[in-house]
Amino acid sequence: MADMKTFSESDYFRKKKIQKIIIYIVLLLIAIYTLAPLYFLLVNSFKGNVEIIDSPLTLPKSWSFQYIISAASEIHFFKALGITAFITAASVSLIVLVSSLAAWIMVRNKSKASSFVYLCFAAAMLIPFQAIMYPLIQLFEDASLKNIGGLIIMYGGFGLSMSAFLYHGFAKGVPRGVEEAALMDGCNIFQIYSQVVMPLLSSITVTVIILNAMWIWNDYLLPFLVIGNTTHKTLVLELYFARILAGQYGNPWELIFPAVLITILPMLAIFLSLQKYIVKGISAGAIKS
Amino acid sequence: MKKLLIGLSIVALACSTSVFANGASETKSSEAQADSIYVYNSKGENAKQFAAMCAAYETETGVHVKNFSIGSGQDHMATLRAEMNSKDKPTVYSIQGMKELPEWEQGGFVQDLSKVTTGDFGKMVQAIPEGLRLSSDGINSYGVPYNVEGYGYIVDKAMLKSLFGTDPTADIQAATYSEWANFVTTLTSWIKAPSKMDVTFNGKTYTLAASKDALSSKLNGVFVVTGSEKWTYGDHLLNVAINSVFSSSRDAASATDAQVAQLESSFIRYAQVLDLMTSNLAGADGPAQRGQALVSSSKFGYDQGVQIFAQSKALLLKQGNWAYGNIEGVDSNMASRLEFLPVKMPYEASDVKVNKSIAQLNSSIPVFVPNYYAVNALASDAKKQLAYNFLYWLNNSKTGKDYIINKFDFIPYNADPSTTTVPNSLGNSIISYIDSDNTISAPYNGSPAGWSGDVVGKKVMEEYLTKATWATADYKAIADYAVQKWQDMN
Amino acid sequence: MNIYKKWFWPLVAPALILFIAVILVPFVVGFVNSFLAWRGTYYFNPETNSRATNILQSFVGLTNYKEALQDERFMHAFWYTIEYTIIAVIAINVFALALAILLDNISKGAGALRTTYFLPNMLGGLALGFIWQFIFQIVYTDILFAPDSILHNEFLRYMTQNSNKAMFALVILNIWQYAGYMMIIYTAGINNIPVDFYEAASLDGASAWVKFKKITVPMLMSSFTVCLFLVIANSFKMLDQNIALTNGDFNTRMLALQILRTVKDTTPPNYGRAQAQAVIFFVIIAIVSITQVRVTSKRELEY
Repeated sequence: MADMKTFSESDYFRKKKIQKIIIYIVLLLIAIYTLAPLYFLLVNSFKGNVEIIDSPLTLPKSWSFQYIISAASEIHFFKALGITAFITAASVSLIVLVSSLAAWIMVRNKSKASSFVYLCFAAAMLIPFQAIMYPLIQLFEDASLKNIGGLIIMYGGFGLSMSAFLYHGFAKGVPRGVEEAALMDGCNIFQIYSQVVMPLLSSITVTVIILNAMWIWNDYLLPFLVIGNTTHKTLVLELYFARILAGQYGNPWELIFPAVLITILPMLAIFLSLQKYIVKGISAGAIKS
Repeated sequence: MKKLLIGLSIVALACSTSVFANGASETKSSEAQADSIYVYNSKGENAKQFAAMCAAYETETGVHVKNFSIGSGQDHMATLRAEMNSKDKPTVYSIQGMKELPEWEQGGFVQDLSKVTTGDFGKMVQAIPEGLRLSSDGINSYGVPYNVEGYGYIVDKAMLKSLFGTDPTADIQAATYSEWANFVTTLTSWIKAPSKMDVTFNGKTYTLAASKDALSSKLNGVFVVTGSEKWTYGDHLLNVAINSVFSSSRDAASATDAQVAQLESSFIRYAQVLDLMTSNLAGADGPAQRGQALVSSSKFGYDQGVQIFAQSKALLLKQGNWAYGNIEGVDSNMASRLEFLPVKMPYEASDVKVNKSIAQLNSSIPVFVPNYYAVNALASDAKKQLAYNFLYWLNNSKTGKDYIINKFDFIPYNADPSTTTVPNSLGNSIISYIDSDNTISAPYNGSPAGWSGDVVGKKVMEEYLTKATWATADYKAIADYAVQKWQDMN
Repeated sequence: MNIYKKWFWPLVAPALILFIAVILVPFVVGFVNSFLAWRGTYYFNPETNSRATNILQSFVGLTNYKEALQDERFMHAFWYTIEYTIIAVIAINVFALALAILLDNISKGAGALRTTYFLPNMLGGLALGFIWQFIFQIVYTDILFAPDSILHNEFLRYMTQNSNKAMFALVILNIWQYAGYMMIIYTAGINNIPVDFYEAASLDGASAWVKFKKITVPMLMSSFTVCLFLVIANSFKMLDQNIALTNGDFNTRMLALQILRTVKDTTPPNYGRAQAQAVIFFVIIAIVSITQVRVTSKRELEY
């Protein structure tokens, strides 16, 4: 009996172990599959046009950085990086400030007006960009805002509804008592907001920052329509115009691959160094909304 | 948490200062200055040279030219419309032929230059040859040509030499379609098993070499067809056939259903030619066939097609002089040895409705104006005059001409073909076709928007280039579809 | 408390102004334009066949809507988008949930794997399109699923060159890009399920499948609400990947691309009709999303 038991127990553990190994194999295969396109991007960033078309999958004949260097100068990498970072940072700050203020005060002041505003923001999430694209650009043109400043305002408007939605869900969880105590201590509304409410909302703030930063950084259509081919382009726009200026006929692969590689590197670096916050932030946003 | 936020704000701050440091160099708006015009250029490939030309103009004349270049891909019209809606509208902008004219004409944006009769510019406009004029009714004239372009079968003269030991170009140009088709099939068997084989061009006998040499041993097929590029057989090859019925895009644009129906037999010829081409295909790794691979943009896209040709794997590439730079990028030696051969069609006398013989059509290549400079009708008279001065300077001054020929790599529309040469073998080949009056035009531009590429080209790509064998019924089906759709879309 | 009431409008105002300027006004203008013969740079007067001197002259009633609904390409794009959305919603969510559950079963390396799966989400669409085109046309077609491979499968070859196959190619691409994101939401949901639920079920002798069906799924309803909403919205509005993979060839235009291309299909460009299509597009998205949120929210468990 005792023997039988040990046997079945070790059998159970062996089964568990095999199960685990299979899970690992499956997960690793998926990971390889996930990373394969990036491998592809990497190896082709070191090749010339002829080599890319002849042998797109193999390692490059030589690891020379010449294509990456010329791509970096072609797309004015550092300048574009600065502009992209500025637009992203300014837009995200605007979104965070405006949506958190609105969401918090809507939670605190329940009224018909409040639910109507909330409904408007919710409805805005459903409007496809195509439905407003042309009039939007015209409106901003007429207001002399077809520039980086206008672009930031537009991002503010587009990022607003989703972010207000997220803040709304979380502001409900801020204990009213704390705010009242602060009020007793003589804080004004802005002090309550900045010193009491925002610190309590910091986890969702991270989420809002990340979600908005991601799409603004990678966005192509809006910058194209608003700032177009001026001297102040974002990274994605630089990439787009580099490809276009190289000609209607043919793709300058030896420019596209390294240019794509260096445009995603900053995002990659930020992601890898902040991944803990990012994963946590997205989880947080998902649970409460 | 706090550290993270502080870190992010520092990064943001650092970045924003770098932006504002750059911010001072904004270009001045052209409206703000009396002595300035705004030129919108949709030939993005020459953006840098174009900007240099504008700077040169400012140095010579003191008139500031704000310029904006964009590639002629997807979004050039969207951008131009946005510019037209802005306060700082372009004074001079580009129109890509009859396809783009209707909207600017209907919207009242384009100045009729035929009304300008005075001054050097007036003379220049009156002198634009009728075939190159951008006109919706034969009287008005809406633009100054950028340049002329042309296309046909690109061939490497050294390859012809290695096949025949002599230069058969002149006789190939004059050869009949049946001589040509016979040569194509003979060459395919020669590539498989070389031996002395006779072919005739223009009634004269030429003999293929008994064995392959270093160059010809690379050949694996006669044609390279870029199946994923609908415009190569949708727009351009179709255009060759349309030339048998319509001699200009204006004729095509005003065609009745009955006139369109006359294209039926020429479209059957078109399908026959496409069949001949796609039955004798070269590929990257050996001969290719019709099938799914042929319409894959990673295998038979524009770049891949150029590469197959430039690596001497195919004898012929049906493309235009714009391919020169791409070929040069793969093999600069070969680029200096290129010339065009005409695309021949198996016409019968009853097919041809224009005032040209079959022999003339089959020894000509299409030469056309891809782009026009138009002047904004909404600009003030003073600005218009500045625009006229600029366009005159560009096409007639020494500096302007130098930019057109040597920097933009264009063939000037107003060049004397007997004396002009350009630094580009394909350009010179076009000039010699112009010189010998062996040109046809681009009437497909008068077909309904999207008909040639997005409708017929798409049908051919999706249903026929993927089909291994074609029967005579397929030729008829393609022709029926093309005629039917043109009539439907009119 | 009065202070909140007093400050309500001042604090909501910035958000409200942004909303009005960026969303509401353009939306209303666009809506009005959908009843006009708008050509992008001018309004057309059908009576005189030239530019309208007064905007009222270009009023065409419901013509743009009629033309949109009679447009074969628009209707095809409509059904194609619906079909794609159904398949993508199921595939992406099943895949993401499976990843989340598998990762829940391991501890070592789970963080690194999670990061890996999430990674594609950080990268923009423009660049990835080029790469995925190569992958479908070369790697899938000539290597992985080629006739001489052990995985030979004709369906997975030349996927970007056939309307049906391209739909699955898009699904594959979008799984790659979004499953990692949805996985994180599901993981958060799974971590929120009290462990004792499973322990109690194990004591009752419940199988893994029963536990999944009776505990995991009901407890994850709020995660489903979020994920379904995100994937439905994304699928309906998908544009970049559609352009990158097929550019709408082989009858693969989805609604967003169709609206964009309408102004290229017509000369002079019919912006009025494109705008009418966009309004119809909005109505469809609104109906589908509201219905979905209502249905799944009802099933959410409170505990």
